[in-house]
Amino acid sequence: MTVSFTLNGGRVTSAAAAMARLLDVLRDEFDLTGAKEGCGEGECGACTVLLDGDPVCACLVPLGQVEGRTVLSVEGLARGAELAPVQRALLDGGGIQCGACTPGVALSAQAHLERCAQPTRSSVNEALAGNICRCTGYERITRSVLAAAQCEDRCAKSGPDASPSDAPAGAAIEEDLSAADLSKKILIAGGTDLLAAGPAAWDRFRAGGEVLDLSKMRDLRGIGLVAERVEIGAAVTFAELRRHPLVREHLPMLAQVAGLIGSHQIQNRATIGGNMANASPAGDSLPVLLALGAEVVIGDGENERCVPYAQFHTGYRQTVLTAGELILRLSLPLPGEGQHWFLRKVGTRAAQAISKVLLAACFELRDGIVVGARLAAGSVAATPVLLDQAAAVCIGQRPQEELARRAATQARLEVKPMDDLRSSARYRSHVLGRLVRRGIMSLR
Amino acid sequence: MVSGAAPSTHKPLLAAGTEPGHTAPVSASHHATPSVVGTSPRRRDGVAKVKGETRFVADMDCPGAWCGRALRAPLARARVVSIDSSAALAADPEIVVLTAADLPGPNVLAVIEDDWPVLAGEFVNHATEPVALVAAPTAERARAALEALVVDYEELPAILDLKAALAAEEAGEPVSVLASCGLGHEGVEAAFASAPVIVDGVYWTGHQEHLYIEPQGVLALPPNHSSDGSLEVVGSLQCPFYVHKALTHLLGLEGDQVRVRQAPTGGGFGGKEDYPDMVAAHAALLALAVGQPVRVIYERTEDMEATTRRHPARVTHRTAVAEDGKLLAQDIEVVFDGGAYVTLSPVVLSRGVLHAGGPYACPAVRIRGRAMATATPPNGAFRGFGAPQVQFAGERQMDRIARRLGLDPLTVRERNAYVIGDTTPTGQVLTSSVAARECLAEAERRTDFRRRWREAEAARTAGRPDDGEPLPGLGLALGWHGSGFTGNGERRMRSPVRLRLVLDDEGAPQVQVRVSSTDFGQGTGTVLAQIVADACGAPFASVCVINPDTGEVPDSGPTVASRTVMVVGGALDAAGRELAIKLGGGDFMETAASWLAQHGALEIETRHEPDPETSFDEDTYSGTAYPAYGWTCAVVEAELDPDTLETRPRRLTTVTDVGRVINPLFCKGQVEGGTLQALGYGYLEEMTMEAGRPLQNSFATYIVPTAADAPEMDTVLLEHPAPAGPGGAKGVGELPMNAGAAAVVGAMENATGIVSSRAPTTPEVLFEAGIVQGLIRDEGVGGGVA
Ligand SMILES: Cc1cc2nc3c(=O)[nH]c(=O)nc-3n(C[C@@H](O)[C@@H](O)[C@H](O)COP(=O)(O)OP(=O)(O)OC[C@H]3O[C@@H](n4cnc5c(N)ncnc54)[C@H](O)[C@@H]3O)c2cc1C
Ligand code: FES
Ligand code: FES
Repeated sequence: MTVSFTLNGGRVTSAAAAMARLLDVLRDEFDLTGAKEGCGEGECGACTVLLDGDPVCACLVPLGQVEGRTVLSVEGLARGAELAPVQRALLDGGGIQCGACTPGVALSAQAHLERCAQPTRSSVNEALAGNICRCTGYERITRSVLAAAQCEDRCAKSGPDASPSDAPAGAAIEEDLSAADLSKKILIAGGTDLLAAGPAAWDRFRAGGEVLDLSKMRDLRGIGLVAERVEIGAAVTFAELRRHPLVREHLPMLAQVAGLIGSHQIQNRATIGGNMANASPAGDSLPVLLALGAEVVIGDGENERCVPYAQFHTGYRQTVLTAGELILRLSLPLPGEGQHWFLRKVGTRAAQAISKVLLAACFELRDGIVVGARLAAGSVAATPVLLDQAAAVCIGQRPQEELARRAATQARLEVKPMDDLRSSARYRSHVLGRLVRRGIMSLR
Repeated sequence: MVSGAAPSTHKPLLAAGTEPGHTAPVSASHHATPSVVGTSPRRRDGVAKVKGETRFVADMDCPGAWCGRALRAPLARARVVSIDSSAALAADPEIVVLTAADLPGPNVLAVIEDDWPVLAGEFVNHATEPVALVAAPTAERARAALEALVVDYEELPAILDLKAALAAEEAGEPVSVLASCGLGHEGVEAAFASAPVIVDGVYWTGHQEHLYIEPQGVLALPPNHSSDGSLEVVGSLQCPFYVHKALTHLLGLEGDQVRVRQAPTGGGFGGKEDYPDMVAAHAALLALAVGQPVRVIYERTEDMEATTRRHPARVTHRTAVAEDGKLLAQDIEVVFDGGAYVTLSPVVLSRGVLHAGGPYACPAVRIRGRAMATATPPNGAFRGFGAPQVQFAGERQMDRIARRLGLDPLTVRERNAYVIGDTTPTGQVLTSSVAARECLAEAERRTDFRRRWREAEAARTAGRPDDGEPLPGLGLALGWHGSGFTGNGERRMRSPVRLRLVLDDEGAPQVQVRVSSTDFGQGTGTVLAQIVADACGAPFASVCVINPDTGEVPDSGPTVASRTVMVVGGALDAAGRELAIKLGGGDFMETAASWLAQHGALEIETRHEPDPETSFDEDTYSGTAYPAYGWTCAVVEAELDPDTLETRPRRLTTVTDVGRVINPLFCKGQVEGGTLQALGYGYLEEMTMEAGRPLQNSFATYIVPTAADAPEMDTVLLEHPAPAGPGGAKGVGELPMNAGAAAVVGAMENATGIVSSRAPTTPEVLFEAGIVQGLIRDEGVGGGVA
């Protein structure tokens, strides 16, 4: 089987394996070496390319998933001999030193200039947070991108026919799940966890059976309002959640957490179903789903069952999913009157961080009294945890310092944080208490 | 010929917001071409880089190249009982396996003490030490072969870190000291005996990883595959002649039998100063054994676990001060963790000792330094080279002194910072280009530091409302850095440089700059052309810097020690003027064309001419330690989260004196990139060692700043010319690494009142320090009350 896609404006086919990394295919087969391998795990951004206009890490994209889609690598950014405005700006603005990060930086910046009507210093820095530069200190990169934003032709099509709307290869393929055979299949959605696990794990994974690509399943991709509930397909990406008007309006905490996952490159690929199935205690969307009272719809191709999300995680990296089952979608209640939410992710740095502690909380207030509370925390136990006792303490009380302290103490008794290479149990426990307190005080 | 155009008086501060560059050109203008020094032309390699056309080693097309890999020891110390490659060879007979027993000559990389083995012999002295090499036609087969090698080890006890080494030393157990040096004045004891105030401090700094984006990589071509019958090595490296020396020693080859070329290099920061000797040695050994080109590209984990890092340090200060904050005596002990082998530790330590007193005048100083061995990979060169550790300590000590005396951080520095005429601890009288106080003054002018620092102190002591608002804090630090090699290094080397006037492909005159200085991002290839263009009067476009290749350029020394612009640039400036004289003046292109028509190519070789008036005594550590010093002040404005103690630097102001700015944009780029690395060193970049290996061995776990973490930067350059450099230019590469770390930790102190003596001060470190200092209540884990 071959894979066809549009590469820098031209239609190409590759006979490499569907699970080959796009990065290797670009470099080895097409001799496009502008995308570099700096880490092979989605962290450095040196391998960034644009997939249908969105930045992604080519080291985390399996070739099979670009079938029918459009890939722009740095080699396609200039318009023939003429540099794109963002390239010119980086060159003249001191945004380039050793150049190892430069191709990725240029592409992330280009995508941002195309997506964002009025780039600001902070929007640029957020958009570039997935591209580590060890040379420049970023100042000149940021200024260069802001300078390019002033160019009238900043978004003008780069390369011939390279923008997604012109994709000549036809729309990306969509499939129906009902047509798929789920038995003995290995599921892949955004691939960010699977491919970041490294070549050895990847080999084991490949040996396990045939791969089923969930990202193509129409049934898993939508977001909609159904009977007073928001339904979200398992293969919806965090970028979609971050931007979707329904989510932003009704479930702003979910939209916000989506914007806190990794970098733009990761958000463009990582799915919420994958985050749940991967079941890391540091999965950032998980406490949010707990706090929002989500339900999970699970299916095996024939039957569906609905499980309260609070029962989904059964142990360290374990879930109620059985062989042959997959997550189909999530169902979340619309928040009622008097709902308040609080979200804090604590990573070591401002972006591209794995959580050391995350707290998500929903409170319902009536006449200044807490009548409903759901608090959930990540990275402080083997699974994301609901802090039931801390929530119970709040019911019927006014959100005051006294209550905040009691709930904080209670929350700390409910978790089992660990010492690891990211943080200490003592720090995590302290911070959890402080955040619970802060969340309750925020109700005043 | 010393480039003597530098005026010896101070130049006034540049007006705020103006770019330097409107001042006098490097050479007296004896020609009509407009000066290019002081302007920011595009970097020569920029278009290719931004188009993605630049080919780094991993990108180079080399048909038939094999993949080379190293098998690395899992244990920190061990005896190698046996290495069995039979299974690997049986599974894939085509592969090549090499061990120490197969080496043709001495098993050593020549650095200083020649104690660094290319492959572990009988003993393994640190985890990740290479034990065997494998080459195979493909990466997959090389990986399979590595996995099939069987090594039997007998584990031995090991000292795994500096704390353990110091404890063993204290207990009288055997430890290994790799290097020691120091200096001391008479009168130190007396000064302490009569001192009104004595301040003590102990400071710790951790490993720091370079984390260049392009990992280590070398391609080696055996003689039958190279262009000229030599062993040809192309690599991501800073010092082609280091690699050349290592290979000729290792393989017993003559100088012209080995040729080393620099490939485009994706970041170095010192990490590609010493370690590429190892990568190149492995690639070369394999290429000779296989008879095919062999490429060795490190995986990121391998790069982070096995290659060099910044030396961890403990620095102990005892300072005698007057009530007004004037330093009376300093007694400083510097201890570095050198890792398992000597490698560069003696010179790193030396620079550390020479910078430990800080940019401050003090009448009585004693500084003692030693580097101790641990069973970890040798620590090596990293931007700053021993100076960042001691200046983190020294600047935190200044803050401690200030607090003790009720002064603010700026005042205590103003009272002590060097001025012209002051004497350093080595007895060097600073006769020119001293801008420490000017840096402080300009930083104060731009940030209003003193008032805002006091406001934050007052607000904190008065008790802020606990409303979740971030806590503002400011920190300030002053740094200095000696340009060029320490002591007599430059005097010994007297770097040669070469200019060659030729006709280019289009038949126009071209000046080729032939030096071994490498560009790994700093812009060397552009900046040196700017210096030469001005010196000889040639148009900038007609000066071209030849890619460093040991077969094509003289050994003008390694690209380290902030020496390139000042030392190599200085010699090139002289060569350029000599060229102009030779051509007899007038329009450069015309006179050059007629010279070429009459005489053919013209070559000028000059050497760096050290100041004959100065010298350094390496036994007593007295005299001129460096020909010039750069100065920098960093002010960090940060916000701390009251709940999580996370630090967010919001604004960074730096004022840096580099003597003469050759290229303002690149110069600012060096300052900004270096200062962000220093901030990372100060507040983020934690590396915890376990069993002699770093737990943080990937981009996901070793935390460096992203764009979202970087503060907005205001970068100011001052020009106080140094006679030693071209037009007064000093080095800028390392200087910015020396101030940022202490400044960000100072900002944390201003915000929270918690004093931290450790780099990095992560939120966890600040939290524990806060508990010890009684500023945070210890509630233990799980809500229990302590
Ligand atoms: C650089 C980087 C940064 C990151 N940062 C964060 C972060 O800040 N916060 C955070 O929470 N996470 C982070 N992650 C992890 C996050 O990207 C993943 O957890 C992601 O959400 C997984 O989704 P995916 O679609 O990529 O999963 P995949 O990798 O495709 O799959 C992951 C696992 O889930 C299974 N799976 C996928 N979909 C389903 C389904 N519908 N039903 C059943 N099983 C399924 C797969 O079989 C596989 O076992 C980061 C990852 C990387 C590489
Ligand atoms: S190689 Fe680092 S993100 Fe892909
Ligand atoms: S320019 Fe070197 S990493 Fe960005």
